[in-house]
Amino acid sequence: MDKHLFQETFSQLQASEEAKQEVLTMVQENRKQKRRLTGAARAASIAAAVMLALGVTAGAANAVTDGGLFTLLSTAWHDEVKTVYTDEAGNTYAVYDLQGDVEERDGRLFLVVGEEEIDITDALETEGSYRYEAERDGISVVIEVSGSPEEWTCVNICVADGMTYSSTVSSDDELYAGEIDAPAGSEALLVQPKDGRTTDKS
Amino acid sequence: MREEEFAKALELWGDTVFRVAYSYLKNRADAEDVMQETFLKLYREQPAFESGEHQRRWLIRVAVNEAKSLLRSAWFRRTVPLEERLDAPVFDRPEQSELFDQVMALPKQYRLVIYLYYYEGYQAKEIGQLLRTNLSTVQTRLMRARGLLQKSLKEAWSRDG
Repeated sequence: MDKHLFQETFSQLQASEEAKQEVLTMVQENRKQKRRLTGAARAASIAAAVMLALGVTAGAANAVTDGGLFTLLSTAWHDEVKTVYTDEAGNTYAVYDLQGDVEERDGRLFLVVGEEEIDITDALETEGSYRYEAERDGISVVIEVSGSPEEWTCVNICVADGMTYSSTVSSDDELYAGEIDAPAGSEALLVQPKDGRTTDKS
Repeated sequence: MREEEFAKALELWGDTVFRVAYSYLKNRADAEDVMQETFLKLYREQPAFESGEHQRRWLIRVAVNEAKSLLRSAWFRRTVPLEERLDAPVFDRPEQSELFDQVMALPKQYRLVIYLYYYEGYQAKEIGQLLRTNLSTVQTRLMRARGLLQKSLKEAWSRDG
């Protein structure tokens, strides 16, 4: 990715001077009114186009992370829940997208699973836990958040392709700790070498 | 917060906040709404910042929250299609236009991390702290976004000759 091109391109995306001046005016007049646009952009329509169908087919999409998590050589298959990568040795890696992330916003706690966002603050405050279950295309996921909105632990358990994957993260963690039957320490959940052995990838 | 300080913050970070919101909402009008709400919040709450960078991160965090709130609001539940490119910038070079289109075609979680990484210069760990999400999630999103962009841009550029 050409960082210079990216910066050149997106530096041209700027808020209008009118919008900035409006804020200054509001502050100067110490008013708390909300801005309402009546122009064509809002009058026309607004699409809740949250996710585009990516439909990525097999291709040579080399990707390198900055965190040294792993190096992928090609994307063999991808859909909205699972991406399969292969390396030069023919090992395959499957990464499942049915993972719950816990996010704190303005004093509320949300469980985010894909495009779904669930406010779990009250559940943690009253029950001390929140459980999420889903099943899709043969993949089952159970996510349990326990604790309090200030100190919580989130356990993700995913059953797919005959394997069980689990991972745990807590409000104190900086790193995501993953386990695949045996400790793995990453989101690359399964490695299947050509000779049929199954090993962990960390 | 004095008006001069506020005006300076707006000048320094106004476009940053707008771009964060735009990367989420893909809509100029709503991104500007979010930008305004974010700075009004700055003015109302007047948090104490340790540094300029601390202020920048606070603004980004609030902008993301505001954008998410807007997406969840009743207004956004309408599903009439919108011509999203009407309010995009006009670029000097086709590769800029292509890059912009392909980045905007990514899912919103990918667009935001790509923007924060390649434009704002944050590392994955910092993005995780900023978005209150774990490091491996950020790394995965970055990796997938790069892969998708590399593929789509390669196709676009070979198509354009």
